[in-house]
Amino acid sequence: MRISTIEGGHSSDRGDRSLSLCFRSTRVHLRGLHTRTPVERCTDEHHLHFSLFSAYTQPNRCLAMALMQPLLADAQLRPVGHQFNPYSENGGTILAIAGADFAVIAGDTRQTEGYSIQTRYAPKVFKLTDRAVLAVNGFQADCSEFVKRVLQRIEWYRHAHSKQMPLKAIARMIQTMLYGKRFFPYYTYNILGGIEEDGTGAVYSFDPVGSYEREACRAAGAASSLIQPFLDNQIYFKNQTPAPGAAPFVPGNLPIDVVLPIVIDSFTSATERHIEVGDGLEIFIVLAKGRDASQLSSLNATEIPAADPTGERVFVVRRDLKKD
Amino acid sequence: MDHFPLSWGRPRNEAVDLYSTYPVHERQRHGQQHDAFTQGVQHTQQPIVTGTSVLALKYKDGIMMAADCLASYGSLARFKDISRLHAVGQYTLIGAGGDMSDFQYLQHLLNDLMIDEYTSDDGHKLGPDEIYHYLSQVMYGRRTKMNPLWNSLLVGGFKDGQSFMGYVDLLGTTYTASTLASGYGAYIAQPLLRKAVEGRETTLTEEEARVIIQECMKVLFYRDARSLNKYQIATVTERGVQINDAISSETEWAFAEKIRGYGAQTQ
Repeated sequence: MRISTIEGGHSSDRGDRSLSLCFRSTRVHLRGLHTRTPVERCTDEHHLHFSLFSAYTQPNRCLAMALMQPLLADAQLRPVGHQFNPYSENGGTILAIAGADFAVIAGDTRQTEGYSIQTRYAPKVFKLTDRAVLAVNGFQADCSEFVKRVLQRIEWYRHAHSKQMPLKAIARMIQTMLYGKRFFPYYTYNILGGIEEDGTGAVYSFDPVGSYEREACRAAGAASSLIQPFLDNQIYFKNQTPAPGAAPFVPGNLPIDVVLPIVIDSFTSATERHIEVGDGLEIFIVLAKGRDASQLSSLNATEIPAADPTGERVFVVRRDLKKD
Repeated sequence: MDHFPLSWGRPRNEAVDLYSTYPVHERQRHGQQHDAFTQGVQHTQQPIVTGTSVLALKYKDGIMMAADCLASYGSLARFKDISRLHAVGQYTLIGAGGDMSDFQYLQHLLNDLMIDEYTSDDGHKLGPDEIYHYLSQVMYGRRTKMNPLWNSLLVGGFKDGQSFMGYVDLLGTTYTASTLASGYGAYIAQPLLRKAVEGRETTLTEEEARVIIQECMKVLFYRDARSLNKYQIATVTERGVQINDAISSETEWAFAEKIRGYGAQTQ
């Protein structure tokens, strides 16, 4: 089949042929083989055919030919036009911050493709269990497929073990599920937030193929490069020095009434400067067992009823962002 | 003993089950794994006969959708009496842009699905939400096989007092909104639709909705070179799906003669 491909590339027109010969030798040069190849030496169709045939019968002589095959197939077999691209990117941004006994997971609700706003309300943040919330961002079709599968695995876990899946187990499961598609990845950036079994707030962030770590905060998505440096400064106290004599900064211990305004400000600022962010903001707040929720009342937070009340509580705050 | 004469005298390999260790129904294929025909099968790399935009909006009584009757072959207006709106059961309507043969395949698929549902006779009827999720799984499954159905689809419907509108495309990307426009309409008609509809979904009357849709179809006909001034408007309400006969908009082209600077004129 390969032979006929190369022959097929030649019309009876002589000029045409020399053009493609020239093309081939260029390719060989690109490969770093600066010797003249059998193809180059041929001048008429008959000889060409012979030398191509010898590429199969005398492989040692024609290593260069063999190297060229994929390139030739690339250039000549494929019809003009581009290959189907199974990925797209749908904008939006997500972010999560962990406190000592709470976690905040937020995302905007705009969905875009290119310069078009597809919809003003497409949720990116999902409650998984009574103490775990997952934010996903990237290619929408992969995101919704991934969340669907995560929810299913979590349900199976509950049926098998008569308890909800712990946060760190969900994190490891997400790692396995992402890495399981290492060679055709889900184009999704995941941030998992919630309460660990020891009652501490936690944030796990993932890359599309499953590398993950537990952190105090993380931003991902279209405006991550705008928000993450701000969080580095405000949550990790980077480039800040404590006042003389004051205690050193400890990341991950900020009170919730400091964290929530940081989240809201991050999104209003990202909305100003990034065209793919805006329309609406959804903030999920997971509180550890016995923690009081009075600080959320000013934000008009609504509680999502627990499926299996064990003490942790999940609240959601919905706010508008600019729609322009 | 291998009972297939075709595999006699050939070298042993993993694909040949000489001692019948597999049950008959899952027997490995004998002989060459890839025959010449499967190598010749090509996946869709580009659409051939295509439909352009579909528009849809929500109004007081349900949803309204519109699409023109053209199926183009590149820039050739090839088929001028094609319906790109298709009813699925009594609650759902789909409108398709993109490859028309892929759309016809989807119509068959949905028809088979509805027959299966009908014969199960379990007292449940598939609504627009179910059709939307079914389509999104079909489309996402095909994109994952790198063999997409080259369409962008609008799904609209009305069931149990709730109207529904959603979008699915060849990548499996999905979303719902109160105004939808696919293809060129996403650039030209969507801003007009949003301005007219957003915030008024529950008060807009059918007459008002029809005026908005007709205006958008007219603008699209003026600006989209792959469109046709012959389109269908369909509604889904409590009364079910109604796909109307094709209509045309009044257009005015006299101004075009005076336009200089682009087009065919030389001076």
